[in-house]
Amino acid sequence: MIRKYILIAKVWAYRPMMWLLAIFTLLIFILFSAITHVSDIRRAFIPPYEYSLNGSIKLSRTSILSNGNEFREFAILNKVDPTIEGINLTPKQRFGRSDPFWSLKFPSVANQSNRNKLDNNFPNYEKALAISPSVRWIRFGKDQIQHVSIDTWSKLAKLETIIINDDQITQADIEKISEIRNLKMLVLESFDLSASLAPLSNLPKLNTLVLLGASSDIIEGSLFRPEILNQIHTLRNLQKLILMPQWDPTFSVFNENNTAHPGWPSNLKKNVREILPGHPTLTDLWIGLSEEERSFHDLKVVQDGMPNVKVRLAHYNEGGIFWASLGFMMTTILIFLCLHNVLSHFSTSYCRTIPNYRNPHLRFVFGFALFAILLSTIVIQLHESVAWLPALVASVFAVTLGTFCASFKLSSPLRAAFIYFFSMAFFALGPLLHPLLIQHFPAFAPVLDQFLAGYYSVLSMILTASFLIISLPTIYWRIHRLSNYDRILSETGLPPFITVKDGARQQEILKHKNKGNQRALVAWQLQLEELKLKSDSWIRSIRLDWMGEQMRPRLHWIGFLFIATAITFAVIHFSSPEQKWRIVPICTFAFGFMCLFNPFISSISRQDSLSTELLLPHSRDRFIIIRTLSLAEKFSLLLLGFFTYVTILNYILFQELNLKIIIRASVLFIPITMAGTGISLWALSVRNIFARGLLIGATVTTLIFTIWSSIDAQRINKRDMFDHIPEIEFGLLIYIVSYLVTGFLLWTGYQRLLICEFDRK
Amino acid sequence: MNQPVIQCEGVRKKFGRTLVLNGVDLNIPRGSIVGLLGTNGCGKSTLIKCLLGLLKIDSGTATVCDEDPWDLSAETKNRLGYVPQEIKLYPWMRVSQVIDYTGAFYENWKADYCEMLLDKWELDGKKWIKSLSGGQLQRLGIILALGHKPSLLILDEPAASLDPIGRRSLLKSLLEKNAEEEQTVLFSTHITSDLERIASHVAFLDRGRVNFFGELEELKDQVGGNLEDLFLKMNSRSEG
Repeated sequence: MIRKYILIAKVWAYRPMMWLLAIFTLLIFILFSAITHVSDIRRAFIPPYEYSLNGSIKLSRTSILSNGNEFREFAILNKVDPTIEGINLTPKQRFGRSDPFWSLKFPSVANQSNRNKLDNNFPNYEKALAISPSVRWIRFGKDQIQHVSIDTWSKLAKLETIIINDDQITQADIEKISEIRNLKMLVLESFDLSASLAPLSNLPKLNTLVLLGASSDIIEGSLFRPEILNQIHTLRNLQKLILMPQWDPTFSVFNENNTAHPGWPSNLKKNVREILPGHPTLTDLWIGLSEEERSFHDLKVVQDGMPNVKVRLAHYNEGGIFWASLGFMMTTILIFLCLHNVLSHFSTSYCRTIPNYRNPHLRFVFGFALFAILLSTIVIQLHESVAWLPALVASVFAVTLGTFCASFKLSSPLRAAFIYFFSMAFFALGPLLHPLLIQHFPAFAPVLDQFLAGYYSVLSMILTASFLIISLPTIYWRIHRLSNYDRILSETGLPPFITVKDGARQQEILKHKNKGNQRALVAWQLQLEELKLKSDSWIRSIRLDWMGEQMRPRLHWIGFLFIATAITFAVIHFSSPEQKWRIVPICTFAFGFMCLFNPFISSISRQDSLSTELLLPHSRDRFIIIRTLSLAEKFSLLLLGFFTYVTILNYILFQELNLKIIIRASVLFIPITMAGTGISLWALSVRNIFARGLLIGATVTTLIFTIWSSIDAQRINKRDMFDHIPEIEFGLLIYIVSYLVTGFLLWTGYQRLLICEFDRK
Repeated sequence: MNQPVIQCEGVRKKFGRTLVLNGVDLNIPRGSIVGLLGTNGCGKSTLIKCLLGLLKIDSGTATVCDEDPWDLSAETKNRLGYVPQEIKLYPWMRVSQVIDYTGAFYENWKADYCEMLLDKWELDGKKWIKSLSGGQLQRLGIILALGHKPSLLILDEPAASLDPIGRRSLLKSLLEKNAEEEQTVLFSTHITSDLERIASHVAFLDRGRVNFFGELEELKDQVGGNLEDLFLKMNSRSEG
């Protein structure tokens, strides 16, 4: 019995595709684990205020003053849009990099001293504030609040939130704040709070207080010193409290050994536990802990001391979410591909004619699915902020989803193209999900992080049990359907699925089940008739070569992906301007991926017809030159579109279009075209699957090079997204090296094809 | 029937350590119909592929229309038709599209003749390539090989997937072409009855060598009986 399963496992292991798949998956995990480790960014997203470290209150649905022009009108002309609900008066907002107004129209304003002069004109803003009746929140910079009179506060009937961002908050500031009778939420962002919060107890509606500061309780004036906590205890209406200390390296000057004080910020935990219990109205507490105290279990001490208050971390671990979603995505793709691999076992009539073939195979596949769940759980929980149970939930869900996708394709092969679209879109757009989640559902991210950390263990157990109860029979049932693959193939007239190429062939065949491409067919025939009338030339030959794959469905998929990426870009760009910095590299990646992979894949899939095409009336040399030129032309057109996209993007985002950018793009354009063509030529001549694996590696390297270069061309701050990738300096040397390397790749690819035996198995 | 169209002298071809062609000597006269006979795996397809430049000869010499098969000129390919054992066409095209597309490459493509063959062999031009059966695909492959009226036609087991009617029709067409235009035909097969019906010459390939090459009648006279007996006899001799 066991021997039978060992034999089945051996047959699986003999398939090189499985090994490649395993190596690919391992590499992806290693790569992303490195990225995840570095991108462990902590943020605070406190529902329902959506307060974050980097940008005050996120009120995306409200109207705010957002650019220099509006501020100019606001301050100088006192023109205010009556719908404005939020004003961020800190200099960073008014002269930020995202605002090209000042630097373009008033270059002198970009100068720091000039900015300070403008800041000194704050009374202008004060005047404008008084005529902004709809304002609900204001963020003040240094000393600005002192300029606001009681009279102005009284005119701001809807004002309910104040944020002060200043290196020092004085008693005068607190006194000023205590004049705002309607104030509901107060945010103090500072290094030094040399004041008492006691006057705030006069505010009847103040229910939320946020203290955010690069501060330590060993420093006099700390926002988190016991004295302040005692004053908070006297705020009778306070319901929500956020205490979020941040370690600032500049504080090392207070330490001799250049490190954080050993008690920091553990003392905060201790002080909170000692001082805040017994607060009559406090219901929610968010508290920031040190780098070492990542687990939610570290809050247990505080929570135990305050049973009536919901204690949560004031930050969440993006890395954990990123890692879990990556693990989920990879497991789904892996199981999807593995089940495709399994299909080959059931795609021929042998599965019916050989006795006792099906059931052991089915059990093996089922066992494999369970193994995948186990392996995926182990890998996902390797991340320090992901617990076992949530990892198991994610794994079971991923395996179920992968199985569904694969078996859906099986049970309805006619819809295979749809599944292919779905899978590709899922893969291409997957990286966008994370920023989208943060942008549009900010409250969900910390909850998800808590869930992953095992905070909701009962929910995790219920979900795991439910998933297992529902999924295991479902997986078994879906996998059982795989055993009918040979019958479905014979009913639909499809070739059996033995190799990856067979899968591609099935896709091509299935595509023509629908009859919607008559117009394309007529256009193709007209084009061919036109070519027939032309005399023999290189251009005619290249166009004929193109026409050989013009009707290929894969080109339509690429078109679809282009459109999907463009739409995604447009949606994010216009709906969430803050996220544009993130999405540009991702969209660039998606475009670059398509540009490079399309000719590469079409080269491989034309390998079969090479022998037929060679015997058409042209010499071997001419045939290979035509194929080379045809590929180069295809690449150059795609890349031209790609670089145009980059240039337009550059213009949209930075209003910058100059000769240097165009020259840089042009200089890069040639080696990338040569590299793509060279790799495709190699792909045409290489039959060995491992050699193809190497080629894919080379293609990915080229791809990364393209993305780097395009990101560099877009002047995007790589430190935001690619902190872990060493920067490439685009000096003369790298251009020379890239030309030499890609030229060599092209030349060897051409030479290799010249001596290639096209009909060798 | 004077100057040979195909000449081979000591042609050898190895795949790794396996020697498939072990010194093939063969001269195919112009206007002849040569049946290349041999058991499975004896090297028939490999020889044909070497003659077409799809595989490279390791040693020995070969010419096709006086040219090195590895680098046949456009002129020679204009006069050459080939039907592979396994027809690999573009599955995303229709029958008529493939014919049109292939025709665009040739100077003297006979679209009417192709139409006539389509009718004769009952192939629907609107059908997708993927929906054709093995036999229909084989017929299409033959149409594509005949569309430019080649003077040299090489067929690798062309009748293997054809039904008796299709086979008879194909053989008849080959005979007619040969009579009308002095077309030279080289075809590999192990269906000896086909060979008896149309071949003027027979080449018997065994273990990578041509054991016998000569006129069919001469062969029959030498060994007596029909070709199938001869095939079995030569095979048993080589096995012994």
